[in-house]
Formats: sequence, structure tokens, C-alpha cells
Amino acid sequence: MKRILAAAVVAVLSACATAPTDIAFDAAGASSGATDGTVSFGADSKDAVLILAIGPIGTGGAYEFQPLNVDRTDFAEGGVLLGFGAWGFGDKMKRPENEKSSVWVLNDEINFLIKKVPAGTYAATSVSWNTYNGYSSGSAWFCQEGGAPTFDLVPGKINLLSSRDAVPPGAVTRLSEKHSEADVLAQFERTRQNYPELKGEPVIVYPTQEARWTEGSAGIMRVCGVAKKGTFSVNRIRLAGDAEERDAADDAAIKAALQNAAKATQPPSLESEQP
Amino acid sequence: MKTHRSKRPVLASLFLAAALSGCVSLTPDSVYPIGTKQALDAALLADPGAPLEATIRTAKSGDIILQQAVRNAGAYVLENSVVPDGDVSLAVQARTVDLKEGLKFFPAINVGSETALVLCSFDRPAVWSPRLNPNAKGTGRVCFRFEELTTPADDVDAALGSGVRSSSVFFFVSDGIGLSQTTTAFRKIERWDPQLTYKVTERARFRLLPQGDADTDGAPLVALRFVVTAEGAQLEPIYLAGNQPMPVKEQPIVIKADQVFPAKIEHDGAEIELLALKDGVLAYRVLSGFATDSTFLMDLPS
Repeated sequence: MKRILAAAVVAVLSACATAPTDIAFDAAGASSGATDGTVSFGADSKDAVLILAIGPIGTGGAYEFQPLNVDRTDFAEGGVLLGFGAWGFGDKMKRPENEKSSVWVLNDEINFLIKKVPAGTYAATSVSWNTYNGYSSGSAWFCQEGGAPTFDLVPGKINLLSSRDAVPPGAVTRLSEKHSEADVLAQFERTRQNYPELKGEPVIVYPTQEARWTEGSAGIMRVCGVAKKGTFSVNRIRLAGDAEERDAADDAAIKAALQNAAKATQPPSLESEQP
Repeated sequence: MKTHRSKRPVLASLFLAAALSGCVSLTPDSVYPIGTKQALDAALLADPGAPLEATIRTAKSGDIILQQAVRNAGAYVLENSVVPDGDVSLAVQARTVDLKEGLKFFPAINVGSETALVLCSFDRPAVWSPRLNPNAKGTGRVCFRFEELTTPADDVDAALGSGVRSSSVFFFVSDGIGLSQTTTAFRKIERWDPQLTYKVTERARFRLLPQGDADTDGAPLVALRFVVTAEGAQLEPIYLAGNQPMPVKEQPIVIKADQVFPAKIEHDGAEIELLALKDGVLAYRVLSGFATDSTFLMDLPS
């Protein structure tokens, strides 16, 4: 891990509200409209439901996502903070009645964080956590400026992301590799029973890009989700040639490759053999 | 990812050591699983019999041009149930261990206070609970100790052998600082108390299982990734944890601005022909994958 900075997350938790269980969303229906401050919208919305599957929750922490601008050359305004705490604070979805969470980080379980966000492309910029395992505790904060997985959130859909894809190994609240995608989906199905107005099938969203930047500043403070000018870049995450049509740039590279290969096999010219 | 090199352990955190002061060493040993790479998917290989044009692939910045799964260098099964010859608890922590016939183990190397071949359990047969908070139970792995390797370059493949191995000495290992999450057998584990070993009442016997019987849950992929940066283009050795690329401790292969094409590059047995770099797009052919006939020490948290 490039850098871990110890930091308190109490402030994060204190600012969070408990994830309401009256979240309304119908991925197949029309917008229901939010009237009482709850998360409420429909399939024709420009917003998205962001669900993040995380591992043992420890005593608290947060995942931060920062949107990218339209041409993906920099961050945009509107960072999203998904906060959580051991006793149900923050954006953690209420677990099924018989699967209550524990304060102990030892519990290898799946928890879900939920928030309504504007659809778009988001980089998982930072993660923080506070843990206690029965006899020791610790806090950490990690800014992923060296390579933040970036996700395209689909509007009008329940977008299900895994913290395994969002933050690197070592983040305490990251989902264990032992949990398969089927596990995540099954636990989400059980958890969402506490959210009867949350309707529609979830869409599993994988990172398709990776953002890199040098941490910039806002005022006198360095801020993870702010890129120093000229340092922001986005790379794809995919297997080359995997289900993608060739474009003009590919064709140009292949043409150059054939020319280079032909040049390499050409016999030396007469001129070059002359003394 | 490491290759047959001794590595002095580092003090990962004073925090846990302070918590356990008086009962464990301040400097843990590291236990690296021994791994091998699985064969490359033939679809990624250039067909030597096909026309050149049909075998050229292209990559844009971020694309992975080569990836292969790793696996443990073997899987061994415990042939007889054994029990410790005494109490295995610590002053601050009650511990029990259930070493039943059928438990599976993977080969690893203990680095630190000694360099020794060990077999570590895939599962977590140890159960522990802090005496101050007995409800906070956790589980952990154990490793059985085998022969000391006199130099880091000892032939690990030969040391692994294929017959029945036996050992009467084991020790406890931990996946991480104070954590008890389930983790794969592809990452470094810590031996926080290298001075503490335990004996079993009769020698534990281990038999090598046929290939394919190892636990491959969460097996990561090692890969080469093409990336264009402000400094230029390069191929980065990485591995994939979840669906995200993670760096390894190997230098990238830089494609210089004045690179003459075609050019062949080799990395860990893989051979790649670079044919052109045009406007950030690399044209290339994979001629062979990473070597599959050698072992390496793994630290691939996934």
C-alpha cells in the first residue's frame, strides 16, 4: 500500500445519518419522486442507487467516491462519502434480523452501504477505517492517488459494487476474497428485505478504468479528491482485444507494425553495401 | 511477488507488538507460500503458422496484454490425526488446535529467524480468544516445520519432494495485524512468535495430492499491463486482486521513445514481440507466456 495515514474517523461518523429503511426505488417503474427526504426515484431518473459491499465493519469508517468530469480529464464537484459505524450509524443497510452485525472486526460478513447519487463515472478515491478486535484497535486513511478503480454508475439502476474492486488488499473493511459474487448477491437479497420499497434487480458494476493523479489542495489543506493541475489521467482496465471492435487507432498501429516488420525483413540496399 | 530471495522481515507495526508485549517477538518471521504459474490461455498466444497480419494485437493504455493464474506449488493432506503434547495457549490468549486427518496444507518458506521449508494449513484449525474478551473468538492457520534451507537459492522444487513427509513441530501463523478474516493461501503470513514452536505426540504425516486438489479459491492472476504515462510507454508487471490491478516489486519494462521496431522483450519467461507504437496504441504479439516450470515465493493479497 502506497501510503496509509492514520486518521480519526469519528468526525466522519458523527456527520452521518442512519441509512433509512424506507428508501423507495423502482428500477422497472416510473419516478416516484422524493417528498420526505428519503432516497426515492425510479428507472427514468438521472440518479443511481450506489450499493457498496464491504467486509467486517470494525467500529467505523468511510469510502469516498469522486465523480469525473464529462471528458474524464479531471475530477468534478460532488464527492460521495459512504460512512458506517458498528452500531448502525451511517449509510450501512440494516442487516437481516438473524444476521445482526457485531462490533468485532473478527466477523467475516458482508455489509452493504447505500446512497443515492447522480449517475456518472466515479473514482474510489479514499477509504478510512477504525477497528477493534477485542484487545487492540487502530485507525487508518488511504488515498488512492496511485491508481483508483473507477466505475460507471448506470442511471435509474441499483448499482452494486464490491469493495474488493474498489480498494486494495490491506483495507480492513474490504470484502474478503472468500466471498463469491453469488454470496454477495444472496446476502444483498436478504438484506434488502428490510427495504421493501427498493425494487429492481441490481446491476453488478466492475471497475473499467483507473484514475491516477497527484493529490492537490483546497485552501491550505491537501485533499485526496482534488488533482494537482495536469496530473490527472485515466487508464482502462481490461484484457487487450477482449470483445472490442478495432478502431482507426488500432488500424493505424497495425499498419505501422506491418511496415516495421517489412522493413526488418528487407535485404540491405545496394547503397548501404557500398564502401 | 518475490523469486527465491531471502527477505529480512520488517517490523510491520508497533501497534500489535505493543498489545502483545511480553508474549511475542517484536520482529515476526514472514511465511511466503510457494507458488507456480499456470499455463497461458492459448487464445492470447500468436499462432506461429498464421500470417503476421492475423496475429497482431493492439493495446491501449491500461490494457492487460498477458495474464496467467497462479497456484500453490502443491497440496498435501494430513494422513493421521495428531494432538499437541501440551497447552498451546498464551498468557493473553487461550488457544486450541484441531489437527485432524484430511486437513490440507500448502508449501511455504519461513523467512526471518530461520529459512525453513514449512507446510501451512489451507483451513484454520486453530481457535483463539483473548482472555480479557473471550467472546471475541478468532481462528487461525498452523504450519508444520520441515528442513532448514541453508541458502535462499536452495532447490525448493527438490526440497518439496513427492513422497510422504512427516514432522512433529508446528507453530501458529497470523494473516494480518490482529485480523481473523479468511484469506487465501497466496499471500504472505506472519509468524509473530518465532521462538514458540509446539510438538505433537506423534509425527504428522503428509502426502502430496494430485495436481488440481489444491484450494484455488481467490487465486490471483499475474499479468503484464501496457500503460502510457507522461514519461512514456511501459509494460508494468502487476497482479489482479479482485478486478483491480496491483503493483508488484518489479521494475516496468520501458518502451523508449526511440525504440526500433520490431523488438522482442522477455520477462519471467514470457516473450513478447513489440511491432509498433503509434499514437499511444501498441501493436504486439505474445510469443510465449510466463514460465510455468519454476517456483516463486508469493505475496499476492487478493
